[in-house]
Amino acid sequence: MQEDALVARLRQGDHRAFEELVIAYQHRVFGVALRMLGNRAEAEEIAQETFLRAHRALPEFRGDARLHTWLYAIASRLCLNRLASADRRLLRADDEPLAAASADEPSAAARMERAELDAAVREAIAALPEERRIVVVLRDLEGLSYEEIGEVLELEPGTVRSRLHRARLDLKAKLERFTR
Amino acid sequence: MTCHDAREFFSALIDEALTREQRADVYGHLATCAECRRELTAMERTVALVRGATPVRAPAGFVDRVVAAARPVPWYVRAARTVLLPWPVKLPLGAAAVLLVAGLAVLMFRGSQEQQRAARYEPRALSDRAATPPASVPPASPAKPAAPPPVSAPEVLSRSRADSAQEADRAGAVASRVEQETKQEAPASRDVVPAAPNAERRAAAPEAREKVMAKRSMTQSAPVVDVVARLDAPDRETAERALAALTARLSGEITARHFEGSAMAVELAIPADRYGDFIREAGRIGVLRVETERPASGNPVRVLVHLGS
Repeated sequence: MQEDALVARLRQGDHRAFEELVIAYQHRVFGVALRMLGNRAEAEEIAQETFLRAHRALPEFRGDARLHTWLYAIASRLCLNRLASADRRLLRADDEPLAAASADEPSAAARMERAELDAAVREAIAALPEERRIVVVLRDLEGLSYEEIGEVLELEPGTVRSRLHRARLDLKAKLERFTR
Repeated sequence: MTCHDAREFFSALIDEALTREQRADVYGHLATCAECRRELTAMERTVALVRGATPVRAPAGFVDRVVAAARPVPWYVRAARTVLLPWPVKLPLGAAAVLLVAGLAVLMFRGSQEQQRAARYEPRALSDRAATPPASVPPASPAKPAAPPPVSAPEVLSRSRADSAQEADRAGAVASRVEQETKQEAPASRDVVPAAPNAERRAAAPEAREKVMAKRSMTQSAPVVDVVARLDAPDRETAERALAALTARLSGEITARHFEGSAMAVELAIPADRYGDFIREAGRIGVLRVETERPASGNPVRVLVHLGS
């Protein structure tokens, strides 16, 4: 996707361009929300709100940031705000696996193993403190660089590196039985 | 480099985020420390596990829902949302509206001319009758009840007229005094001129006072008059006929006629624009003396004329 061309169309109010934007980033934005919140309904709500806020702010989008880091920034802020809200304490995380095992797994046993591993990773990530969790999600699941994460979360690169290191140490301890 | 220092760089080493010198130092330590090599391997596998997790996909229909929600809201939908306010806003507004309507209703009721008239006439007709005799007057006779049971306004009027006629025939000696008192008190009952009661005369003639009260209730049950006048003519009947003819000529009408002792009282309704003509023409019938005149009269002008000779 030619991001600059898409941004230009979005700034002109091209509704079709907005639809293309949602199609291109829906899984990434939803993935961040789900990994952070652990509840599919709440994740969809946050993901939708992310795109709607972007839609409202697009005329003022100056292109200083990349489009995807801008979307990640909106989604991350919404997630952290939601996690900080008092009324969310009662919300329960989904029990089912985040996603079904992919169809190209060779066997049912492998699919079960895959599902078990996914659940373990999900639980380990969910157990992280929020400020470490968002760094791991953006780095290891979304593939952002340290600089991009710093831009999204408005953190210094050294802080990003430190938080990521602590998060990985926590994950290593929790996933030890899968890494031996 | 110690093991602790080396392990602090493991995460950045996996992400290839170390400088060349840092990387050389870490690899130098790893070459001599098997424990740190195992630790680095465990960290690399952990990162690989996380990165290898099955990607998350947005739910079906997500794009359609987002695109639909982003469409501009039509004006009528916005208007409907404005009208359909949430209860915490709507409830106080509704209460305020109810109070406003109630206040307006009270104002309209009090401002209604008919309501004002009803409030003025009926209670007086009843209260005058019920208060017989008044507190300042000694009881006329033990047989007469101090407070008769409440009666309707028409009943009061008919009783008053009957009492008046009977007493006029019976109490000839006090009739002239009653007349004088009626003349003095009638304006007061019409809210035109407040008349001070003559306690001495009332004490001397309690029967006359009873009669006055009956007559006053009669006159009060009639509509309020704007003008009270006395017309003295040599022949009262001739004067009455002339007055009736004059009233008809001026497009007015006689609204009431009754005796007040030996005198006759006639109530007339004269169009306001013909009132001046009425006064001028009535002055030709006899000696006309306007006793009281309300400054702002209505239309028609209600005139009470006492005919005397």
